[in-house]
Amino acid sequence: MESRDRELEGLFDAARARDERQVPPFATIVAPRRARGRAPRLGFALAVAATLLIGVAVWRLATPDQPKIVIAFTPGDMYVPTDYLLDMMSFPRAGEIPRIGAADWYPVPLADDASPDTRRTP
Amino acid sequence: MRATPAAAAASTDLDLRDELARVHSQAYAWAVRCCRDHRAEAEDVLHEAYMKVLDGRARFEGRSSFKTWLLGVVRHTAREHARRGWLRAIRLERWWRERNDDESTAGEDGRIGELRSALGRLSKRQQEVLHLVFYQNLTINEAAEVLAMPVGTARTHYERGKHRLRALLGESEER
Repeated sequence: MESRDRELEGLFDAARARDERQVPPFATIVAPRRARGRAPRLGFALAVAATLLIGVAVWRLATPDQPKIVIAFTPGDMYVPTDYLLDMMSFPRAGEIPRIGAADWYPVPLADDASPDTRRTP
Repeated sequence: MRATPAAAAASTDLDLRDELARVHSQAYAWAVRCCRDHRAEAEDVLHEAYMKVLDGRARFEGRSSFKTWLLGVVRHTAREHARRGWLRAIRLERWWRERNDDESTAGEDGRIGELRSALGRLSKRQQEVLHLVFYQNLTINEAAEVLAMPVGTARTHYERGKHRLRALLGESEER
């Protein structure tokens, strides 16, 4: 063998001697796989799950809300379609004999100061 | 150790354990090489290889020395392990392991560090052949057997790898 090969051999021998100090014991390798290998995997899985959760949360917060449908209604705007029946009861000419074809009902005009639910009283 | 097939068949589990323990440090070094210097992965691979031997899934038939045969089993197991490993969550776990392994080899002696660095610049096949010949003290024929390649191919890798390694070590010496 060339002397240069011996030089390489010497280097590899030194590397081997150094590595032998770091070899894990045979019993450790043969023993059933302990949690050492699994713990980082579990931690890794948890980290991935946490990242996903944070991502979903951020996405939900960053997405603008859908426009809300607001039904605005106030008592004053309400119109009860059967009001005319009440008008009939309190109509001044209620005592008159109804005539065929007479316009005996009409929408109640509200007074300016009257509240929307004001009803005419007899 | 050379053994006949009959003798190998008669070997007990205890014998196998003794044989494994005898060549353990060399097998470990080879596993580290097959796992591209990832020590934690090498331990997993070696465990799997030992289990194959002890369970009888890999059977020594005495066609070569026990050490040569075992190194072949380790290499085969490392390849299986690598094939399964692609799924490992975007290699993040591997990155973490590599980081830890790098810390374990930090502060290496100058010349050995140069050797490792120069080896790392050779092709994978050249690295494997040189490791088997110089580090494991196998012949080129045995190295070819471990690597499941023709002897001529192994010899070519050996010659070219050695030439390149010397050149790289020479360069680093000049600096």
